[in-house]
Amino acid sequence: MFKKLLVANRGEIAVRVLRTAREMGIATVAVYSQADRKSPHVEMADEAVEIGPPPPIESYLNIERIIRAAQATGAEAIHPGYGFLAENASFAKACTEAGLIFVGPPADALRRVGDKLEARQLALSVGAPVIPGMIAVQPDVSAFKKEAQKIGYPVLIKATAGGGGKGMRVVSSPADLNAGLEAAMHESQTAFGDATVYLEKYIAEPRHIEMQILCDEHENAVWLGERECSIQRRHQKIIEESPSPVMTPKLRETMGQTAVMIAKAAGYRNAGTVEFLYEKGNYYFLEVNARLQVEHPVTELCTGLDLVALQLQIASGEPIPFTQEQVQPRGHAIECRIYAEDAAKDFLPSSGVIAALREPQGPGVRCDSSLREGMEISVHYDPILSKVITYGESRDEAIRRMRRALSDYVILGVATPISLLLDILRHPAFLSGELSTHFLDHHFADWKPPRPSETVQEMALIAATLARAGTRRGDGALSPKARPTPWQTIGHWEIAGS
Amino acid sequence: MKSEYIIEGNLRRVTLEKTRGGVQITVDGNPRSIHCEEMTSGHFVIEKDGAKFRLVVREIGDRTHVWVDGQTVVLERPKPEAFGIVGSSDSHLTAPMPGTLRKLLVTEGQIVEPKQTVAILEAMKMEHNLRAPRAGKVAKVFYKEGDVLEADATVLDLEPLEEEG
Repeated sequence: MFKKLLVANRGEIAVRVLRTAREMGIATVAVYSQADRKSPHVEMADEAVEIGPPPPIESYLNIERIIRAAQATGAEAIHPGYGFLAENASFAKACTEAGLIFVGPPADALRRVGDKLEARQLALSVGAPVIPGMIAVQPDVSAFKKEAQKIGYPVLIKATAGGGGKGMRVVSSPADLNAGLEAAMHESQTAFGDATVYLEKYIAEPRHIEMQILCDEHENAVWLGERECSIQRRHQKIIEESPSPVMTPKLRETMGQTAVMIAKAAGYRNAGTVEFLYEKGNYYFLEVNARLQVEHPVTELCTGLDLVALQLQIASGEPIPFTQEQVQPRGHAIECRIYAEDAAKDFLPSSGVIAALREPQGPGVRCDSSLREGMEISVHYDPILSKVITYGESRDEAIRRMRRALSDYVILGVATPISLLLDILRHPAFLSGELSTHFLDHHFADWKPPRPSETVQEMALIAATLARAGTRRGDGALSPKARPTPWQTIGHWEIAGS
Repeated sequence: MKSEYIIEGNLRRVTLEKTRGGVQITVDGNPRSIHCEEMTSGHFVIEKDGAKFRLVVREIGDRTHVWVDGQTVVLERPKPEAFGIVGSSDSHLTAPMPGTLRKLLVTEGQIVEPKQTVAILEAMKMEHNLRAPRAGKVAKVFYKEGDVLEADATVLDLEPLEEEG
C-alpha cells in the first residue's frame, strides 16, 4: 500500500476519500483553489497545496499543477474523485508518466469506454444487449431511413459528441425523420462543434439501472449490485436507491455478469459503473462511468463495503479480498442529493453563506458533506451541498427514515430542494416503485414549493421577533437584545501579518 | 416592542409586551398564547395549542430566514433600519412627515418618560408634537433646531433604561 495519497478534488468527495485514507493509515495531501482555502477537505488532510485561482480550468482541472503538487509532497498515488479529471485519459497518462499511481482505470481503458460508440461496440462484442440502432455515422439520410424502418418507430436521434439532451430528437413517424435529422445535426454542431448523430430505438418509459463493478490487476472482477437512478431532473440524478424495485435475483445476476464482461473486454480496472436502460423486462447497455460515482454510498450501505478502500487496495496491486459468491447485498438504501438550488426560482443555483447547519443523524442515516456553519457557498463549482443516504431493512423503512432525516435537516442561508424531495418521497408512484426517467415530468411538471401554512407563518413571525428581542424565556423577563458584537459587525477578518 | 415583516407577500405585525406575568404576544392585533423556550441562540421551541414547533432563526442581510420543522420561511423587513442599530423602531424617534425642526426639548443623556414631548416639528403650517414612544435615555440627537427634515428621518435614538434583566 502506498504511504501518501493526493486527492485531486474538493468538497464532499474529497472529504470522503480523505476519511478512508486516514483510516487506512495513509498520509494525505489535499489540493485547493484560492476559493477553497478554508474548506473542510483542506483542514482534514495532513498537507495541502494551493493550486491556483478559483476557476476549475486554473485549479482542479490543471494537470500540471496537480502533478507538481504530488511531486512536491512526495505523494505516491492520486485519487481523482468524480468529475474534474476523474475520467480524463490524459491525466491518467500524465500520472503514470510521472511515476504516480492513478487510482482508477488505465488510460487506454478510459479512452475506450469514454467514447460512446466504441463502448457500444465493446458491449456488442461480448453479446450484451444494446439499444437497437445504427452505429455508422454518415449523414446518409436513406441509410438512416432504412435503419429506422428496421428498428421500428419511434426512434431517437442522438449526438455522438454530446449529452445533457442536446442534439437529441424523438421521431415518431417516417414523415418526420428528415426534419428531425436536420434539427438534431444542427443543434449538435452548435453545441459540440460536431454534427455526427446516430440513431437508436426510442424507449418511452426507461428506468435507469446501473451496476457497480470492481476489477483488480489479477483478472478478478465482481459486480456489487445495482442502483436505480431514475428520478432525474433535467438529466441530473436527484434520488438513487438500491436495490431497484423491479430487480429479480436472476436479472441481477445476468446484468451483473454482463457488466463484468463489458469491463473485462475494455481492459477495465478499479471501480466503475455500467449503466443500462430497462423497460418491460428488457435491459440495454447505455454507457460506462469510469470513476467512483456520486451515489456510491447506496452500494456501500447495502454491501457493508468501503468502495474507496477497495479502490486504494486495487490501485496498490492487491487482489479484491472476496469472491462474487461472498457479495450478498441486503436491505435497502436511498440517497437524496442536496443541491444548492432554489426550487422557487426554477432551481436556479443558490449561493450565500450557511448561516445555520444541523445535519441529520440517527441509525441508518448517513450524511456525506463538506459543510460548515459560516461557510460561503460559491458559484464556481458544482452546486452539490451534501448527500443524505438512509438504510433500512426494507424499502419502506429506508423511505421513512429519509423523510424523518430530511425534516430534521437544518440549512439556512442557501436554498435547497428539500421540500421537493419530501414531496417525491410521499408520492404514491414513488412509494409503489413506479419509476422511470420521466417521473418528474409525469408527476411534478407543475410542482411549486408548498406555501407555508398560516400557523407556520405565525410561528416564524413570533420566533423572528423573539430573536430580535433577545428573549431568553418566553414567559420570563424580556431583555433587550445585546448590541451586535464586533464579530458580527466587522465581518471577515484576518490575523494581522498573514 | 413592535416588529413588522413581509411574509408570503403580506405585511404582518407582531408585538411583544413585557408584563408582570410574562410576555404577551399579538400577531396582527390577535393575542397569541404560547410557551417558548430559546434552546440556544436563535433556536426556539414554541408550543401553541398543544402543538410543538422547532425553529431556527438567522438574520442574513436584510432578511430573516426561519427553519420550521423542515420548511424554510423567509421574512423581509418593510423598511430598512435608519442606522442599522439592532432594536425595534421604538428606539428611534422619526419625523412622521417632512418639516422643520422648530424646537428640540431634550438633550443627549436626558431621561424621558413615555409620551413626553421631545421635539416640535413644523409642517404644513402646523406644529406637531413629537413624543417619546417609551421610557428611555436620549442616546443621540441627530439634528438641531432649524434643520429641515425628510419624512422618516430619525430625530433621536433612545436607549433603554437599565432596569430590565
